[in-house]
Amino acid sequence: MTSVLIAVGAVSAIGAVFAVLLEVAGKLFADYGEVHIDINAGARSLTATGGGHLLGTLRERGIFVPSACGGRGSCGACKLRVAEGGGPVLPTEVPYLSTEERSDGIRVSCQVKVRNDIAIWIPEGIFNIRSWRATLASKRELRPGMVELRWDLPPGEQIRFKAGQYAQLKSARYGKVKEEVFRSYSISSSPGDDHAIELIIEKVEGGVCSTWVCDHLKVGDTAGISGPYGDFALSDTDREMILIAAASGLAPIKSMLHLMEDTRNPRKATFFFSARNTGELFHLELMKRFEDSLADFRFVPTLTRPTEQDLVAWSGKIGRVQAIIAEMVGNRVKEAEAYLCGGAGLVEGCTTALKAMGMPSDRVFYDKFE
Amino acid sequence: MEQGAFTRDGFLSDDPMGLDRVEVDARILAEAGITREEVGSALQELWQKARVLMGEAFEPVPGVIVDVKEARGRIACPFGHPGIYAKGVMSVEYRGHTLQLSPLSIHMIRAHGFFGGRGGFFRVEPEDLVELVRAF
Repeated sequence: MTSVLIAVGAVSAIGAVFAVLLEVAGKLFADYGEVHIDINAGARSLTATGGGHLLGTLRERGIFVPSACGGRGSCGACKLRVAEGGGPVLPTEVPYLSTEERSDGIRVSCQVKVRNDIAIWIPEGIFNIRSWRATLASKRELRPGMVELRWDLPPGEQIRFKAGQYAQLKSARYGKVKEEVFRSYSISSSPGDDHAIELIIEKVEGGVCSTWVCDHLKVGDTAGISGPYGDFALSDTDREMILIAAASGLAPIKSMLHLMEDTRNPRKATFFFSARNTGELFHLELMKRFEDSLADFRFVPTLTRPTEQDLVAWSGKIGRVQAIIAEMVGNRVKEAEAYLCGGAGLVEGCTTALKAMGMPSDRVFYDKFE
Repeated sequence: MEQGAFTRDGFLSDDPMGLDRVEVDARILAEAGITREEVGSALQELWQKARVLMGEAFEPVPGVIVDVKEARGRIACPFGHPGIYAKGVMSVEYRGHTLQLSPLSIHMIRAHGFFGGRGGFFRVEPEDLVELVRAF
């Protein structure tokens, strides 16, 4: 086994060395000259020096295509459509592309080299994404292992986002961590609070960025932050809303509630929040404030694994969210809309239950942790 | 594999054996007559069943208690295997010890026979997993 691993390691190392040599040689000797990047069939046009990767070239021009890994080719999040000039699909892209996507010209932009004129398609929302060096104005522990950060944008700068969208935070080097990484977190503040960005971050065991945030980041520190990303947002209807979240999935729902408060939106809304026990609950005072200030809002936390103490003192709901919704909303589910944020288990489990209760698929909106 | 690349502590942690640990762990499984694929499949099934319960107590067989906490984000396999894996922790309490696993650590057990470096958070001893799989 050791010899096999050594052989695999040696082949990988040789491959890596050749890849580095090719990259260096490309930078030193290959002259692709100026290339033109056509975006959305002539809607925009850029001129750039050829030879760079598409994701980085666009980023240098202020166009921020979402990427969870920062362009290392390990997340597949930076996909976009290349209509012309992208060259053949590379083996490094194949794992991230379905057959349909490949036939539609979808490419992993951090892997595509801009060697010649190229024509691409980008969703309009991406042009609104900006990047800043933000300053940490406050850091508050919401419960053990969960913090809320408030980042001040540079003076005069503002972010225009929809409640439900997310930002990307770039971590700094610390301890043995020598790489900066990008991680996505939902914005928890109000869209009207546009000179700052608030994020709720839970510490993930072994997580590079969340450990930096929870254990090393201090008020006054600065960091790279970009946004807004994503299409999770409130619809423009007056349907009853069923809001569902667990853990830091509360963040985009909180932003939506701030928006409803700011705009005096009278929609009926119930927020079902799943936690194991009362120790996992947070922002209870704020939710009470929303109950008082919004026209028809109710916060319903439910415990799935109450402690013995909870069983004595807790007067709220106990059980999985699906059962509580069936009990409290009943047949109204058929006419309502649902907004969910949390892990795949919560989102998939609740979506299946809502559909079984008669909610059409196109009225279920979600931001799944991934 | 190194610290700070994919994870804060790296997958090998401070294990002085390095990747030789894979060979030692493989012998333990071979002696028990269980394949890494069988172990990985059993763990994957536990993950799938527990994650939809949102923290509710899950006892697939008497004496085994499983809990899944999902986290935001995905992580790639450090062995260069295609695909990305959800972040999260599955805790399995069994016979007085608690095993910590993630979708990626389950994949690495099944596909690469890698049980983590000793000292790492996601290190699981193959003997414990053999016992667990036999409990089903």
